[in-house]
Amino acid sequence: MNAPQEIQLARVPNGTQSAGAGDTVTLEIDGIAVSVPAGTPLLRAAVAAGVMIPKLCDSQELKPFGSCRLCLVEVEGRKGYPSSCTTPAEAGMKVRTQSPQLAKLRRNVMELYISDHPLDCLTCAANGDCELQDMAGVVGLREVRYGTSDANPGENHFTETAKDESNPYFSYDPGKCIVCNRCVRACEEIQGSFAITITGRGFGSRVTAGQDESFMDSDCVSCGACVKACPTATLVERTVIDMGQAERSVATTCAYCGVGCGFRAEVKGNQVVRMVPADEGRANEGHACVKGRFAWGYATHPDRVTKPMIREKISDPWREVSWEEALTYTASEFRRIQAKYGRNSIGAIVSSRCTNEEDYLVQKLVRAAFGNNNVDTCARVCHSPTGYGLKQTLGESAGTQTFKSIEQADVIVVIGANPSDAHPVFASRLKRRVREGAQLIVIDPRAIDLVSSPHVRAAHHLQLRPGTNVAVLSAMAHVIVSEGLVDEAFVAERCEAKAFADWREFVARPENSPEALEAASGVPATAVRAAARLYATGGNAAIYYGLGVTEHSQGSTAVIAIANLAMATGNVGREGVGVNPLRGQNNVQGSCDMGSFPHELPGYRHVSDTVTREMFERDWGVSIQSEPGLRIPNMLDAALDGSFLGLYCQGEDPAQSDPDTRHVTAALSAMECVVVQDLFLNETAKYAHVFLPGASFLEKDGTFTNAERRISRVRRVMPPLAGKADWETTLCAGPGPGLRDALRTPEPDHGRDRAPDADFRRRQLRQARSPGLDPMALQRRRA
Amino acid sequence: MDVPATLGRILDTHRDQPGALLPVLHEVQEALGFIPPETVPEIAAALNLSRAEVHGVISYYHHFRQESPGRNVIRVCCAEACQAVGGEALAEHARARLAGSELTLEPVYCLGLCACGPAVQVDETELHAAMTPVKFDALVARLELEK
Amino acid sequence: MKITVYVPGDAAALALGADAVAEAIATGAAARGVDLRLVRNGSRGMVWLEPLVEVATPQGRIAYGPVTVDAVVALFDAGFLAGGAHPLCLGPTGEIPWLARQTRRVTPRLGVVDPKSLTDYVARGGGEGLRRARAMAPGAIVQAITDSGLRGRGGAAFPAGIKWRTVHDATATQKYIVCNADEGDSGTFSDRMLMEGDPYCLLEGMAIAGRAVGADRGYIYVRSEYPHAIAVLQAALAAAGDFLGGFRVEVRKGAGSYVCGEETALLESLEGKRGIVRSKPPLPAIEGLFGRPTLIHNVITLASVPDIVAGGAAAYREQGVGRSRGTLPFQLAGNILRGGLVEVPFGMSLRELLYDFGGGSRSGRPLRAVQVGGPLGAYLPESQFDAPLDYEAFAAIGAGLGHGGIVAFDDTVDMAKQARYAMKFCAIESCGKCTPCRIGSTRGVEVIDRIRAGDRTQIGLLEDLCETMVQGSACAMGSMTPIPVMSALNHFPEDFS
Repeated sequence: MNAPQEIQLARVPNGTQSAGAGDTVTLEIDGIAVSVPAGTPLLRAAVAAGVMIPKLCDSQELKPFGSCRLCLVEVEGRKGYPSSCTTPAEAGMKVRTQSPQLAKLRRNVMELYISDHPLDCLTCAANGDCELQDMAGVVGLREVRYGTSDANPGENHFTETAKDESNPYFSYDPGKCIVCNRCVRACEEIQGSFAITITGRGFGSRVTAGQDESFMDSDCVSCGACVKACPTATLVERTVIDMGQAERSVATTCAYCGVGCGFRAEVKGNQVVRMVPADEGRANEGHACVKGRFAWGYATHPDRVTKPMIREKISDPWREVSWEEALTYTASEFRRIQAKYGRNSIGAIVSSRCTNEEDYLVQKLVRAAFGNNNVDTCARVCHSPTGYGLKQTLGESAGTQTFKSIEQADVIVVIGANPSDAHPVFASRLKRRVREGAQLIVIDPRAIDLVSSPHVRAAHHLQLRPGTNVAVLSAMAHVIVSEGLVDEAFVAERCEAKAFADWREFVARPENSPEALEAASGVPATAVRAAARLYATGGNAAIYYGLGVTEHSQGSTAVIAIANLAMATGNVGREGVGVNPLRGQNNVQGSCDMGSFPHELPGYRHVSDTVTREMFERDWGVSIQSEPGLRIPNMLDAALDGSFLGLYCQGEDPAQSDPDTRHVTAALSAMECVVVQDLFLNETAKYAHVFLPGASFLEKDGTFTNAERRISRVRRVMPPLAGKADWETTLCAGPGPGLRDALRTPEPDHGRDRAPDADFRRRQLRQARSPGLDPMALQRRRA
Repeated sequence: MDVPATLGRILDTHRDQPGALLPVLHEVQEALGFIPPETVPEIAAALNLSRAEVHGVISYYHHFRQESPGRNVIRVCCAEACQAVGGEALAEHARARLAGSELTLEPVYCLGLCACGPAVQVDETELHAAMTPVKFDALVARLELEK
Repeated sequence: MKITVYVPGDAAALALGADAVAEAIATGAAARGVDLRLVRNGSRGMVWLEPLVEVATPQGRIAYGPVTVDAVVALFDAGFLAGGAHPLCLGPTGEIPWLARQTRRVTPRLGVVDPKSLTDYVARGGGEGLRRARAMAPGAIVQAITDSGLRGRGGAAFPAGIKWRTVHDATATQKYIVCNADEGDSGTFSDRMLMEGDPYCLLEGMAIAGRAVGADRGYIYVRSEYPHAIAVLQAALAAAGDFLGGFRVEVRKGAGSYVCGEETALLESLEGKRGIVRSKPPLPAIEGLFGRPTLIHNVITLASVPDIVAGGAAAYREQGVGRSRGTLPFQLAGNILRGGLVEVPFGMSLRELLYDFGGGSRSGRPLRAVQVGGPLGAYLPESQFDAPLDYEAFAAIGAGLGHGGIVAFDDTVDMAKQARYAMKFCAIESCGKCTPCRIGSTRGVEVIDRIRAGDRTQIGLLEDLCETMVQGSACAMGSMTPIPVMSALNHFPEDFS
C-alpha cells in the first residue's frame, strides 16, 4: 500500500485553500528554493521542494487545522516553532524543517499520542495503511515513558467506549481515535452533512455521531468521507477488517449516477477489497457517496445469473444452456420474426449503464444487422426533453458546464431536482459553494433537503404546484424582461434576433406576469419577482435541473424556457453559469451520444440526413433505413398491435421503470422473443424468452460519459462472471452471418479506425485516457 | 412547563441573531433547568445547524447540562486564590456533607471573589465568601429546609 | 432631608452579606422616619472592609466597614447617618490611606458612582472622551492610543495601538469591537468590579474604539460565573439612551470555559461554536468575528481608553516605567490580610503591594509563595518579591504580570500540589485541539503524582513534557501551564522530594 507521503508527491499544491492574491513567492525550505502562490501553507510548499514534513491532522482536501503539532518548523527571524500547515509562505522566508529540537519535539508529541493508543499494530485493520504508524516510524519514536505498565497505567481510551458497528460498511472504534478531527472536518467541509462532532473537550474529547448516537441512528449518509479521511483504524471499512489490505488498485468509474465519480478499485486477486474515491477524479475530486463507495457488493451477489437461459414460453421454467445455444436461438428467432412480420418487427433498447462502446454496438446491431432504426434508450422517459430542448436552443443535446463550474457561481437555481439524494457528490459541491456565500433558489413542490439543511438555506423556495413549471419560468422571464434585466449586449451578440423578439413579446404579456400566474402556480408573485431579480442581477447564475422538469408533459418546453432564461441574462458561456441537466444514470449521456435514438445516428445526426447516413453506410458496409424507427412507447403499442414482436433489451428494465406498467407488461407478453441481457432476473425478465447474463462495471473495459459530458475510463477489475463481456454478447446477438466482420472491437487502444467518425472516436478515446475531458473544449474543437 | 411553547418562544426571539446558539442554550437551561436532548433537533433546525453540532457545543461547555440537576446547585470554588485560604478542605467537607444529597455539588474555577475566599455559589446568583465548614453546614441546612 | 447611604451591590460585597445589610438599613431608616436614599454602588475595592457602607455628609462621604447585619442597629444608634463615631467608622473614604495612595485613572468611579446611573457617570467626568473622539478623525484617535503606550491588559500586553491601526486600515463592510470579559484567572476580579461598578466607562471605551476603527457594533463576552456583572451591564445599556450614538452593544454570556478567554476561542464561542482555539494567521484584526476585522480587548484595556482620549496620550504616558506605561489595577488576593483592588503606576515592587497595601498574609503566617498573573503565571518565592511590577522586569525573571492578579500563599502551601493543580486545571480547561495540551496535561498530573509518591526519576520526564508543551502547544493555555509548574519545581524543590 502506498505510504501517504507518495500520495502527497502526486499532488503538488495548486489552488490551495489559503492561496493569496495569486502572486508567486519564492522562499527557502531546508536551503531549497521553491516558488509557490503567496499564502500557500508551508507544509504544502515543502512538498513542492520535495520535503515531507511529518503531519497527522493535515489533509489535502481539508482546510489546515493545526492540531497534531507534528509539522512544526523553524522560521528564521521568528520565535518558537510554528505549525507549517497554518503558516503561509511569504517571500524570502527561510524555513528549516529538521533540527535536533524539532526532532525532539516531534518524538515527544508522538509519545503523547501513543501513550493513549492501543499497541496492537500487528493485528490492527490499519496495519500497513496507518499514518500514525508511519509517523511514529518517521519521527523515530523508541519508547513511551508515560505509564504504560499494567501496574501504573495512565488514563486512556482503550476500552472506554464500545466499537460502533451499526453501519454495515464501516466501523468506528473510539479507542484508536487520535482526535485529529479529520473525519469531522471531512463531514463538514467536503460532504456538508455535519453529522459528526466532538463530544466533550480536552482529554475526554471523542468523535461522536449525531447526539452521541450510533452512526446508523445519526444523520450520517454513509458517504465514507470520514473513513477516507481517518489516518488510523478508528474509522475503517468492514471489508478491510475482513480481508486485509489490497495488493493492487485499478482506476475506474462508478456505474451508479450521472456524476461519474472516479474510483480506485483496490483489489486482492479478483476480489474487490474496497472502492476508494479517486482524488484525481475530475467529477468528484476524491469524494463519493454511499452507492459507489460501498454498494458494489451486487457484482458478486449470489443472485447474479451467470449462465445463459432460454425458454420457449414465458410460462415455462428457465433452462440453462450454453452461450452458443442461447445466441443461436436468439438469432434464429429474430430471423424468423423478421421473415414473418417484416423488417421492422424487431428492435432493441440500449442500456444507459453499459459503456459507450457497448452502446454503440447495440445501435449498430440494430441499424446494420436488424436493418431498421428501432432502437431507443431510457432517456426516452427521462432526459430526452433535454436532448431536444437544448439542441433547439443551444445547439447541443447536453449541458454547458462541468461540475467544477459551480465553484464560480454566485446564484444557484435548482429546479425539479433533489441532488442531495440523486447526485450526492454534486450536492456536496453545491452546498460547499452556498456555505461560501452563493445564494440558492429552489423551485420545487417539495421542501427538498437543500431548502434548509445545516449551513444551507435557500434564499427563495418557490414551492409551485406540480404542472406549473412553464408558468413559473415564464413569470420569471416576464420579470426579467419587464424590469429591464435582460443582458442586451449578450443577446445582440450571441442570440437569434427574431426568436428573441418573439420570446420577449410573449413573456412580457400581462397574462405571463407573476401576479397573473400566482393563483395557478401557487407561488406568491413577490417571491417570483425576488427570485428572478436575484437570478438576473446576482452575478454568475447557474441553473441545475432534473426530472421534475423533464419527466413531464411540457418537459421540452420547460427545458427551452430554462435555456432562454440563461441566454436572456447572459448566463451562458463561462464558468459559474450555464444550463445543467442532472443526467441520471452513469452513461445515459453516452448512450444518447452513441446514437441510441430511433431518429438519430451517433452524434445526434438525423437518419434522414443523407450525407451522414451515407457516411455510416460506407463505413459499415450496409444500407441504413432513412426513416426514424420506433420509440419505446411505440414499440410497446406496436407489440400490442401485433407488428413488433422481438426485443433485445440490453441492461434496461422497462417493466420496472417505464410508465403504465400494465401497458408495458401486456406489450412484453405479446412479443414472441424478448431477450434480456442483465445481471439479475429483473422485472422485464419475467417476460423474457432469452436471458443473457451481463457484466457489471467491475467486469468491463470501456468508457462512460457523465452529465458533464466527460468521458471517463472504465477498467476491468475481474473477469466477467458469465464468461463474456457485454460487447461480445452483442456482437453475436443479431441475425445474419457476417456481422462479426462488420463490427469492430471496442478496445480503446485499437488504432484501426478509418471511418469518418473515427476523428470523434479517436478524440474520445484519447481523452478518456487522460484525467477527464473538458466538454467545452471538445465543443470548440468540433466546431 | 410547556416545553414546546417555551422552546418555540425562545427560538423565535433569537432566530435572526448572528451566532445565536449560546444565547439560545442559556435561555433553554434557565427556563427548564437543563437542556433536554429532545430539544436539540428543533434548536438545530431553527438555527440551520446540525444536531451533531448543537450536541457538540452543549457537551463542550461545562455550564450546560443535559440532565435535570438537584434541587439546588452548589458550586465550591477550587481555584488558586481560594486554595490559598483552605478551599480544598472546604471542598472535601462539602463532598462529605452532600454525599447522597438531593443537592448537586459542582466545582467551579473562580467566582471573582478572590480576596475573600473560600467562595461558594448557590444557583448561580447567591454568593458566599469567607466560607467555613460550619457556615457551609448552616447553608446546606437552610437549603434543605426550603421547599 | 434626604440622606444618601451607599451599600455596594458588587459581588464580593454581596457574598459578604451586603444585601442583608442594605435591607436592615432601609428597614431601620423607615422605622426611624429617615428619608433615606439607598444607592447600590460598586465596590471601592477594599474587600476586607466589605460590606463598606458610606454615608454622604456635608464633609463628604464617611465610610463604615465591614458592616454586618448585627451591627446596623448600633450604627443607627451611633448616628452613622451623620457620620457619627463608631468602631467601624473609617473616616472620610477618600482619605483612607489604602485608597489615597492609589492612582485611580481607570477606576476612579468604582464605588463612587451609582453604576446604573448615566447622569452620575457624566457628572463625574464620564463621556468626555467620547465627546472628544467624535471631534477627532478616526486615525487621530488611533494615534492617541498608540502614543499612550497602552498595552493589552488581559495578559498578553501587546501594544494596543498596533491592533487599532490594523483594524482601522482593514477594508470591510462590517467591523466589530469585542470586549473580552472572560476573566477566568483565579486571583483576578478587576474586570468584574469595573463592570459592576462603572459599566459606562467600558461602554464609552468601546464606543470610542468603534469610532476609531470603523466599527458600529460591539460584543461584551462575560463569563457565566459573573451573573451580577451581566445584570449591571444590561441595565446600563438599557438606560444608555443615545449616549453611545449609533454604536450597538450586545452582552453575551460565556458557559464555563477558561480557554474562551483566549481571543480566538472567544470568537468561536461568540459565533455559537465549541470554544476551540483558531490558528493565527489570520489575525482577528483582519479576519475575526464572523470573518470580519475585529478589535478584541480586555475590559481594563477598553476602560482605559476614555481617560486616554479625554486627558491626552501624553498624560497617560507620564505614568509607569520602561515600556510599561500608565497604570494597572492590581488585584491582591488569596491568603492576604487586606485584599482588593490597587491601581498604581507600573514600577512599584511586589513586596510593597504585598505588605504595605496587603498587610501580609491573612493567616498571620509568613508568605511563602505568590502566584502573579493567574493560573498560567509563575510562583514567586520571597527572594523575588522585590521585582518591580513591570512587564519586562517580570519577564526577565521568568514570570509575568498577566492581568495583574496576585495570589498570596502562606507557608502551609505545598508547592508540589500547586504544580499538580496547574496541570490539572489545564486538563480540565483544555479545548482538546492540540496534542501537547490535550494529552500532555493529563500526563503531567500523572507524572507529578508519581514524583510526589517518591519517584524522582519522573522529574526529567516532567521537564521534558513541560518543554514540549511550551514549544508545541497551539495557544497560551498549553504553552504557559509549564510556567507555574517549573517555577514551583525550581524555586521550591524541597516540596517535590
